[in-house]
Amino acid sequence: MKCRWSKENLSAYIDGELNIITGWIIKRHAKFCPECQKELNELQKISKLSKLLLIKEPEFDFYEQVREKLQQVKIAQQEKPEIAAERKSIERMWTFLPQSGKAALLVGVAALLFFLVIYPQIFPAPSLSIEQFEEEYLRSRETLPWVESPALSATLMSAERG
Amino acid sequence: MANSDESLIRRFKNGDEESFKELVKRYQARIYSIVFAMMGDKNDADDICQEIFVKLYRSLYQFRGKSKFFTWLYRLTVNTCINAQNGRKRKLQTISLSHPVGESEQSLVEFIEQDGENCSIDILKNKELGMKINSAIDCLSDDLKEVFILREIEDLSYRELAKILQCSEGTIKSRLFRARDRLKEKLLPYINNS
Repeated sequence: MKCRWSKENLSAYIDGELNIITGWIIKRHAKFCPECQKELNELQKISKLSKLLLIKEPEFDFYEQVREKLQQVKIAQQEKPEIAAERKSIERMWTFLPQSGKAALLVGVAALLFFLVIYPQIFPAPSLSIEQFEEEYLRSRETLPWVESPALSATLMSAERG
Repeated sequence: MANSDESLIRRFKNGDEESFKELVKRYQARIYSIVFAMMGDKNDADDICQEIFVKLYRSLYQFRGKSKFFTWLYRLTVNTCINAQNGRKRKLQTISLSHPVGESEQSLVEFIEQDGENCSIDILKNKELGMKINSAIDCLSDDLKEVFILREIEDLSYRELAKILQCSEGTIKSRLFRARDRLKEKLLPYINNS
C-alpha cells in the first residue's frame, strides 16, 4: 500500500512539488525500501538525461532570420493599405455601435440568410418545363381571335400528336 | 541591471524596436528547445520558431500584463506547435525525434556512418542512448509530451504549467507521472547500463 502510494508520488517528489510532510514521508520510505529507492534513482536519471538532450540552441543568426520575416510581413501589410483601412473603419464602427444596433444588425443578417438560403429550400419555386410553357402559351393565344398563327400552330401540333 | 520583461514590453509599445530584439534573444533558446522537442525536426523547428516570434511581434501590443509574459509566450508556443502538428505531415528523418530507433537498427548504422570514423565507443553509446530517449519522448501522446517537455526544459512549477496548458494542477501531476512511467518502461534497459 505504502509502496504504491509512494511510487505515485515519486514524480511530484523529484519536481519538489510535494508539501514538506509528504516529501519527508516519501524520502524516509525510499531510504528503507530498495524498490522505491531504485525507482526514484531511475526517474531522476531519466529527468536528468532528458534535460540534457532537450535543450537546444538555435542558429547564431536566428534574430536576423526573424527580422527578415518581419520585414516580409510588414511589406505584405503595406501592399494593401486600403484593405487594412477599411477593416479598421469597420472595427471602429462596430466598437461604437450601441448594443441595440449590434442586435438589430445580427437579426438582419440572420433574416437575410434565412430568406436567401433556408427559405428557398423549404418552399422551392414550382418548376416549369419549356414544352409545358409553350403549350400553355399557345393555348392562351388561341383564345385571342385576332391572332391566327399561334392557333394554327396549336392545331398543327395536335394534329401531329394525333 | 537587466530589464524585466514588462519594461521591455512597455518600451516596445512606445516604439522601441531594440527592446523586441532583446526579448527574442532572451527567449529564443528556450522556445527553440520546446519547439524542436515537440516537432522533432530541425527545419520545422526553425520555421515554427520564426512564426512564433512574428506572431509575438504582431500581438505584443495586445498583451495587457494580466498574466506573466512567459506564461503567455509559452501558451503561444504550445498552440502554434499543436496547429503545426495538425496541419503538417511530420517528416521522418534518419536522426529525428520521430524516428522509431528501437524498432530499427538501420538508422543507428547510418548515423554512425554519417558521423565519421573518429567516434569512440563511449560517444556512440551516449548517442545511441540519446536517440533512444528522443524516440521514447516522441512516442508519448501530445498531452503527455507537452507537459513533460515544458517541465524538463523550463523547470516550471505545476501551477505555472497549469496556467500555460489551461488545466488543473492535479492533471499536470498525473500527466507527468504517466509520462515518466511510460519513459521508464521504454528506457529501463538502457538507463541501467548507462
